[in-house]
Amino acid sequence: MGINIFDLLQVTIGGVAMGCIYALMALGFTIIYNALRLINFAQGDMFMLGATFGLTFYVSLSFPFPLALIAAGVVVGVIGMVIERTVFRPLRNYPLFNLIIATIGISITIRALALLIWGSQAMSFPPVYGDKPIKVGQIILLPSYLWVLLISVMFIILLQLFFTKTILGKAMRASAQNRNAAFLMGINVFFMDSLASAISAGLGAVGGILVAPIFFVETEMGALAGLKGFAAAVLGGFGSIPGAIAGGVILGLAENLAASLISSTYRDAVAFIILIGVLLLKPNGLLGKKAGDFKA
Amino acid sequence: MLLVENIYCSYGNIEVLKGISFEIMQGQIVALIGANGAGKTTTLKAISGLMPVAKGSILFKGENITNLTPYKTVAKRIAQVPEGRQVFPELSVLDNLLLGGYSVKDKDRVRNQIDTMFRRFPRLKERKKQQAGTLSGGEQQMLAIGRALISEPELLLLDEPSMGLAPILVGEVFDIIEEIREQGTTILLVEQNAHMALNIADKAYVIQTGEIVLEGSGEEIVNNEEVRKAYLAE
Repeated sequence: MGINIFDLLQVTIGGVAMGCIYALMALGFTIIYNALRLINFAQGDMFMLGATFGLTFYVSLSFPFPLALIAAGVVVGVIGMVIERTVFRPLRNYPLFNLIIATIGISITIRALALLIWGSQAMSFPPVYGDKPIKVGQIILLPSYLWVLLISVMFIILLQLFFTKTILGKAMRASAQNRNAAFLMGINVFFMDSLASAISAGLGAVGGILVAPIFFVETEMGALAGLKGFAAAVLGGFGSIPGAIAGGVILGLAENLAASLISSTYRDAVAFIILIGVLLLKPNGLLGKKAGDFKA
Repeated sequence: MLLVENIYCSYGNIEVLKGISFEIMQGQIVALIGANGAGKTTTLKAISGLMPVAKGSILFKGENITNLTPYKTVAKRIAQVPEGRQVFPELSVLDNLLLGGYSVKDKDRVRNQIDTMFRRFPRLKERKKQQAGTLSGGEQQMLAIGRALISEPELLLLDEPSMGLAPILVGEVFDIIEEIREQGTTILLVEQNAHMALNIADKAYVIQTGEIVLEGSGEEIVNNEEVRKAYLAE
């Protein structure tokens, strides 16, 4: 079995596109970790809720796709904010372990509720990206992956601009770096916690609705996406924003290359081989800070 | 200007402040001196709202600010330079200063204040794009003071501004403190470097295991026999 340069290019673009979705998930893990010092195992379910709400908005309510995407992001963002306010904040002064267990509880609750609303059947999302392949010279590209790539890159850029150019974004970073000093500046750090939770949930939701037209939509779909986003965040260095983006892209690329060069059976194994490998060999990830920055 | 009346604070079951009372008049430098763990930092945190007050009250210009949500004290024109500087290490010098003006609605005033700080601390201007965490200890202290002054506070709480600084820089920091007072800001200074603090203080309080054990003018305290033995290492 040979692989030529054009196939490789397609595989690369598909891989980077999926990688950007993992990057959105990893950013979700990172932002909430930086603000609240917790690993949110309900992040995958925000992905699922993005897809299910997206389906409802796009199909049942006939929203145009861009509007359905934004609406899903906002609704799930509000859910993220409510979770912070009702679960994370009251548990703030408890050990980290309690918080992480709470996120697992939230995950189970959300899945059960989603099951009641959307049922257990896998649903298909209409092909919004079109299915006419785009030919660039000898390369044939699927429009779906190009759209996913384009839109997710746009969200990553917007997020970067938010964190580096706006006073609110800077205040959020300041709160993550030193909570007490942020209070002394007059920053409402409690609101920053809510905002971090909302942004994380919203990013997960955007990832979910973006891939919904490519895959099926079902209430269990968040589990794998969440684990892959987690693996991407670990690979990049937990807590690092550039790391989350790099980790996501590398993971997506590695997966797609392994699937096409070895066998697609191993696609999902790649993420976990990488996860285990990073934890064994370079536990701080590619761009992470030194170990022991787990501030209590 | 500030009236602290009989406040009590605890960390868990350990009572760290056991009825602290003192007063600061407008335009004064008031020093709070005492050994490590006496409750100096806790007192400042109680004023800025970072530490819950179990009993007692804190009045600022006649208004009760006891247990005010911490992010609201700066809007009352009380700013704190925390112990160990605590600049935002991964933000630029300029962004640190900008956040000092987070509570100020008029952003032109923030810009003016930043320019003023850059004139006062030219080294910060040279390094305005640099991450604050890469500055030297002295520069970080200047940044922490500059950042607190952006909001143009009427009362500045300074927690151990000389900590970890070379002697020459300590002198510089104390010059700056006097300069800030001359420009009309009232100062509450917490220091382990009691000698320097007492030299510039109008009034001083000695705090010991959560209680004020002595008060007087800076001069009186400096000349007090027991203080000399306990805190001035003579």
